Amino acid sequence: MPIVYAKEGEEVELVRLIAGRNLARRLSEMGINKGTRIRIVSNSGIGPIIIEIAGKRFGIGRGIASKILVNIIK
Amino acid sequence: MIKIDLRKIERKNIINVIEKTLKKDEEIDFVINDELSFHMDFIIETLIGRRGVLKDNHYILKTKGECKMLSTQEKIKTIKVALAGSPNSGKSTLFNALTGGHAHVGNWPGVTVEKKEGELIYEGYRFIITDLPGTYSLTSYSIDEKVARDFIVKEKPDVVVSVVDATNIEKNLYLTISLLELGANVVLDLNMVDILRAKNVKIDKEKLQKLIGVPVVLTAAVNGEGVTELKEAVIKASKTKPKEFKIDYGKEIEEAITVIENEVKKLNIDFPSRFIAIKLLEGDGEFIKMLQQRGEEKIIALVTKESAKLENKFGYDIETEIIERRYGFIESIALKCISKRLSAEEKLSVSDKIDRVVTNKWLGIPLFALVMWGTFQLTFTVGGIFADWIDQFFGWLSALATAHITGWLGSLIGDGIIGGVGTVLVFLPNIMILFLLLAFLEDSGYMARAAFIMDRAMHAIGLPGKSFIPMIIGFGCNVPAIMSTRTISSERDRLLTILINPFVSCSARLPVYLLFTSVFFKSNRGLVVFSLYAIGILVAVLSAKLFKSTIPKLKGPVSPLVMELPPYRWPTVKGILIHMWERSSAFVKKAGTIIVAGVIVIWFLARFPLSAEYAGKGTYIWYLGRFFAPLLKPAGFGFWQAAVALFFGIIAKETVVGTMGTLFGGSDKLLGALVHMFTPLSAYSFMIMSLLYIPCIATIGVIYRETNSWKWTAFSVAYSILIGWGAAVLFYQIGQLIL
Repeated sequence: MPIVYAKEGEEVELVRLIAGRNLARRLSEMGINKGTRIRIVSNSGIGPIIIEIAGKRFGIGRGIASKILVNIIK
Repeated sequence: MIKIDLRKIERKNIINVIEKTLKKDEEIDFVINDELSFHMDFIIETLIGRRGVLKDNHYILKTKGECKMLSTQEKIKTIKVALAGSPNSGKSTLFNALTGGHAHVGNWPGVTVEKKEGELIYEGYRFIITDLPGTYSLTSYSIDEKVARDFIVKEKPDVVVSVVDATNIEKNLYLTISLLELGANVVLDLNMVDILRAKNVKIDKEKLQKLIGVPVVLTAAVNGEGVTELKEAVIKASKTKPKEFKIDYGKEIEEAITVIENEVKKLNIDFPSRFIAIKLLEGDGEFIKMLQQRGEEKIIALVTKESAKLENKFGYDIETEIIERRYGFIESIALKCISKRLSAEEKLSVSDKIDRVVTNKWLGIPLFALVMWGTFQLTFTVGGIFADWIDQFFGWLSALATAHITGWLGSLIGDGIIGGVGTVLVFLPNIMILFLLLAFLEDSGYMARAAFIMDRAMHAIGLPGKSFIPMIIGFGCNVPAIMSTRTISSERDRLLTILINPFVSCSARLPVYLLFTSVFFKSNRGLVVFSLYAIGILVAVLSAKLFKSTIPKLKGPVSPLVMELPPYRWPTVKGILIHMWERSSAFVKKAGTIIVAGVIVIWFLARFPLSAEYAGKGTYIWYLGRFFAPLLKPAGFGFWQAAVALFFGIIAKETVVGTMGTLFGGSDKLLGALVHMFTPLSAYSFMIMSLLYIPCIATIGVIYRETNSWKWTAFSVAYSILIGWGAAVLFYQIGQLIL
């Protein structure tokens, strides 16, 4: 499912990026890549979400967030 | 005395020329540029063991009888060091810890990305430290990344210190790996080990060193821990050549790399050929462009063929696969070297709790407005105390000059220079406090949240959230603000962000507000000034909306938001002070140069012809002002002094105040005069005009440099004149109807 549907506090694993080439590369190089464990810090239903990866926080627009496919771990 | 103009001499020959000159003459005057002035002492010292005298752009050296060339053994050895690291790795803190904050700030050649250089002497070695832009990788995705990559390849620093946030090396070693692939001589600096220790995580340094093949140093730049060890490691590394570094990308990819590398080898390019081969497979636009320019279509075709082959095999794009392999390599190293991984529960930190409140969908924006309002309140109340002292000092100085120096010179110095510059410098405390608070907000991590909070609102006006940061930096100065738009990767968004930035009220406009509010809005200064900042933002927003819907080049979707939000932390006092001073000193420098020159011109125009009274009817400046004044009448300030002040305000916005100071002979007399000339209504209208009417010369210059187009620059100037005048007139006319 796209990460936008994950709830605050949930932990998910990135399965696939369905973004365009440049965006996918940029996300990957920032450390947002396949197999990464992601925790949802904040997702208020509107506006960008905050995720955390290995101690780093990223703000991600909803547009991109709907292109990051994840599985819920817990 | 012999005069040598070093500015005309090629960089690589400079040392030779200096050396030859030193042998020849007994007094030498080296003519130098800004960059050289920074290095001159060190160059001379390494040659003859003592220094000369630096004066503006001259370096004077007496060599008679005492100039003994040091032998090669006695000379200090120089090590060129580059600091590379991703944003928020603590790179700036480390830079300050190494250099003591003394940096030479300039630009990279050809682009306007900020270049910071510092020096330090340690154990007979001189380190020239260059702070590379903060990047996540070395793909030419942004200009920053290209700058960092080119520096390493072309300037060939002896050592590259890869600064890595030690708290999650499994992600952060990515840039280190890229540096190694580029063939750099790397020292790996695991920074922020203090945080690691607090979380009870251990890193096996020896093992990491062995696995990655480069020296590893543990530091906590915040408190200076490990900095000495880092210096030692750099010296040691400077004496060795980098080992060859290779990641095994797996049989299929390796085959493709070899095929391409064999072709690339024939081209004789600065970069390592394996690096180019890999980057070509990753689809690096910069290298593809370079091949096209060289007419190497054959290699491009080869790359396309190889990547298509690989993509068929893997089922998805090759660059992702390459990136995955790198992470795989890092992962395998990290697993062996860290004692434990931080689990999610441990990481629910103070930052998260703050973020829940600060970025809350209801609270976020009001909180941000409150923070900005508080910032301005503090700027006035605290700054005002000091401003009064400075004001009294200049009043006294001006009176002293006019009393003791006779004739027109006394008037030039007293009324003109001291009056004009004094009126501007009075606001230095305010500006220092504003920069101090902005530095605090930036270093604490809150500024990044502002971009995040505003993302949705910004999307509504057709801009990405990232455009909000240049707007905030614009509160300090529009020049660095416009430069900072370089982090916006979409050309369209970037142009739009540049065009609206001059409407954001910079600190140079603050003196105008402070002067007028101190006379007309004594009881609610903070609120009035805040309202002007709000008007600036409002005009910027509406203009963005207008441009977006009318100018074809600016239409289109907004690029999406992905940005790192650094953890909240208490900024260090030293860090903030350095930050503040880097910017405030520019204000002082401006007052001492451009504004002095400006007020001298103004004084002469106000003094001559001699038959007229100083700054009175019949002077040249009166004619100039009278020419423009009728245009300003509908805005409520149609008198010549206001016209002249606005006219010279184009040099720098502080000059609006400086001009008035010069014309009336200091701020004391000015305050008295203003009451007769303005009403609160026209004073506010004048402030609106000063806020909007034209970007200053420096801003116009930077708009041109960044857009690389006279057309857009002219558009920006014409548009702002129209808006500034229109807004002031509209406000005054409506105000008159109501009052």
